[in-house]
Amino acid sequence: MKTDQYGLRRNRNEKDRLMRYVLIAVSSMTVLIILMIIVFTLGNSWTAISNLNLWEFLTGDSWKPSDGEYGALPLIAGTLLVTLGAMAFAVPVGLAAAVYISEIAPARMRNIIKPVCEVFSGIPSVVYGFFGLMVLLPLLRDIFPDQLLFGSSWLAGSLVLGIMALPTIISVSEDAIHAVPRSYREASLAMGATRWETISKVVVPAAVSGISAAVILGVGRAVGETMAVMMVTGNTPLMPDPLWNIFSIVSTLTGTIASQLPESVAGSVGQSSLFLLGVILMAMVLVINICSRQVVKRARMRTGECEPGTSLLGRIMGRDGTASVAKVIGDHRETAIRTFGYVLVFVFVYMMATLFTGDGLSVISGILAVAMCIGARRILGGIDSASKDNAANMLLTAIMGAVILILAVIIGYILIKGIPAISWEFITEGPSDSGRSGGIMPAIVGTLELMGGTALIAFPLGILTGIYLAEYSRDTAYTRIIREAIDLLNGTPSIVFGMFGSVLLVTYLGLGYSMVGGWITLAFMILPVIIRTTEEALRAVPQDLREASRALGASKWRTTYRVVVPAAMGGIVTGAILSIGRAAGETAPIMFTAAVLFQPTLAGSIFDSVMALPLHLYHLAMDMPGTTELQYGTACILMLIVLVFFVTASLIRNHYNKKVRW
Amino acid sequence: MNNKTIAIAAVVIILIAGVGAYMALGDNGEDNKSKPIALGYNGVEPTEDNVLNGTYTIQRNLVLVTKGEPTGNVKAFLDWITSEEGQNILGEEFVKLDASSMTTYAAPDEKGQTTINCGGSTSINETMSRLAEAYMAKYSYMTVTISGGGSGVGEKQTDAGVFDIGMLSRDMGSKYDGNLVPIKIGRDGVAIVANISGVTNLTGEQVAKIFSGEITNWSQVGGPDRAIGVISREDGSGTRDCFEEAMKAVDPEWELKDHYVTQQSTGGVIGMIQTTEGTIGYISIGQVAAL
Repeated sequence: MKTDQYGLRRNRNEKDRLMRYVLIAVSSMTVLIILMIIVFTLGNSWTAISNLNLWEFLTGDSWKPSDGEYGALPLIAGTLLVTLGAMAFAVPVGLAAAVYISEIAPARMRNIIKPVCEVFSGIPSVVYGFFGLMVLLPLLRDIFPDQLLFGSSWLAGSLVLGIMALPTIISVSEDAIHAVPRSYREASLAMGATRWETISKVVVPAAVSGISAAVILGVGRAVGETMAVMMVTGNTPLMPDPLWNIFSIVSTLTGTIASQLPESVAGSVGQSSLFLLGVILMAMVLVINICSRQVVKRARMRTGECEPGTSLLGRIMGRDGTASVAKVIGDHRETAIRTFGYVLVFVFVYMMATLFTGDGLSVISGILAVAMCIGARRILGGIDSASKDNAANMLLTAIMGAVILILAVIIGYILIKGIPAISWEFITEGPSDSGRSGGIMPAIVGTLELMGGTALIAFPLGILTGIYLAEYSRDTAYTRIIREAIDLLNGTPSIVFGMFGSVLLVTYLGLGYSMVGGWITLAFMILPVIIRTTEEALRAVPQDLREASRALGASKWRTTYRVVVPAAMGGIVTGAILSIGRAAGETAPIMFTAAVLFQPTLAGSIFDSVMALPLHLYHLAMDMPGTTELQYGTACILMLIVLVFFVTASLIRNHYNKKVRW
Repeated sequence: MNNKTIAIAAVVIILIAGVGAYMALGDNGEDNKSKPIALGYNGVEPTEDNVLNGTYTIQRNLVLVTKGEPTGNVKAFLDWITSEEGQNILGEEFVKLDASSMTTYAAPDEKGQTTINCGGSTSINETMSRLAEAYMAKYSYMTVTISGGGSGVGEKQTDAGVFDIGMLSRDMGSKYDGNLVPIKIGRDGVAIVANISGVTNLTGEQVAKIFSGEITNWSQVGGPDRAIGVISREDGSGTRDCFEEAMKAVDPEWELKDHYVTQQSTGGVIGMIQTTEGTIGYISIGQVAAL
């Protein structure tokens, strides 16, 4: 029998090689999927590109496909403005909460808040949108009766998106802040700086690239968000007038695609223009991804040579030969930044004031605001740093409390109003009167069926690809392409998956609305998450285990399969469950591929359409007045299903964390 | 503190927050006192009778066209649509033909053409799908397909022979006289609905000006001093087409001002009007009962 250089038997080696080929083949699926998505989205937008003037498409200010007016500018502006507003709210609040968790709260609290953030980021967006619709809009109508007749507005969209983005931003920026070496804090404190001074001048500046990454991640999510935005923005393609009119009704790219795609005719310019919107959306997300990669790269470059306290401007200009410029600016930094800050305060207050009153009064209020800032600064300057430290402490605690309160109110309110609506009939009977009464059994079963099938497709693909990347790949061109594809796939907005599925599966393959179509679309969507968590879990397994196994004569595949994967099981399973929980709440990918609004019976086969909880909730809330009780009941059940998944995931993680130690 | 305490604490916080929010917010949006009503238009109530006798003017014909006189199973299907049975289905969304124009029908021939392709106006798409479904349930050997595209596509593709039946939400264009044969199957009427006390009727001109943004306060049309919130259906909706046509008949230059909230369905319009005082919108006359 032939043996290789290690004296191992050859046939085992051949099996090993076979497994390698299988893994390579499976992992190439990701490249295939992203290529298909690009080809189909671009291909379907071709009719629009060749029939419409691209420049006019991008700059035209009227979107009215029935009249042949295709001006996407209001939609692009809507997406950007809603995202901007969300970040203006979520970034400062999220950052403050992250600082509180990492620097002020006891270490124990971190261990609680992190998984809680995970749960909140898993609550389906349609539930956040529903909460916005039922609670936020009436509230806004009461607060601004003259400005907000309907409540539906850019402001409402930004608030809902901001609340949705909070958990992600808190969690990721907390990681960044937590990663700042302890020695920085100790050095600063040893110099006599207070805790607040240490936080604001040392820790946060040192973590700035990680925080930026968190913000960019939040921006990416917000740009691609569909359902929540659709429920609260009014959905009329409109340029805010003036541009900073946060009370204006707006429509986003995703909302327009979601509302118009089902009505559009296959092959028409109208449908093709929606795909072109999808291309624009993908391009925006791509730009955001590239930015985030640059930020991370910079962060890597700078590791170990952090210069705490350098101004943001100086850090951005960094080592690129522009250091001298940075120095000059740095000398006048304090004054320059302060003046700039005052100008910003003035412009912001002026702009907001013009929405309520005339120009004259707005200028006055702007000046007043600046005066107040200068006054406040004076007063703060007079306070000793110990009291300042206390004040900052209280402020951060208050913000953290507010964040917890907001999130608790959302869950609590829906539970309190939803639980009374849930009865045995409600979960065991089909809907009647086109959904106005009866139960939601087909929607519950449909959602579970969608989750099961999605898991069946996504788990093997994702986990095998993760194994390939972690255990078999070297840094070759092929691996880089796969990683690139996974990144792209991860950034692709969920609605683009829906569009892709509707063309490939529903139309080309002629499946119509089918359960299997939903499986494939959702599986493609959660694939990158599974791959990533699997890879991370495998990489966390110590090298010693692999070496020990190989030294005993086990083949590469046997080592992976019998030693490494079992050791990483906790991480892999958690990641898989979390991703399937997320799939349960997704609406955009299934609304064009699998889920129908009303179907009183269960699907007979996997080629039948199904009902799904998120879409059912959306439909009830938007199109069926007088079904409030059903809506809360549906929202409650959807939320409970997702919560069960997340709690299971964290229990499994705890279990494995206890069991596996090295 | 162990994990159990923490979990219990979290649940307690969430429940307290929920109860607090429930007490503070109450049943938001449901305790609205003012009720939406369908307004008179030029002094005429939006009823099916008034649509049929032509006094209510926000309306249009629903027409099916065939290439040449319909024959065989296509004729059987059309006869069924204009029969009492078909008309009852159509009446769920639109205004039926008057009883004297209804027809009798015969069962389609199992050996004849068993697949009928229909296409055209998206506004009657849903009703046609419902008709097709009922017809296929009645005669299981028949297949009726429905596709969209708009009234213009319906005419063109029927003329080209792609569709057996073209669906139009307006009268047939004179261009096709002699080639296509129109069959009237019903009418579509649109009612103006509003949630404001003190206003029960608007003139065509007032409605046009409200939707074009020239009139922005209810006091300008005899109501209380309150801003008008305009709700419209989405671009491409058949109800919107019908409404816009009527407005253009009032003023050829008329255009919808774009500061409206878009709703994707009649239910959406009704829901928004119910919860928000000072709003105005329009819905299909067949749905007025749902207010």
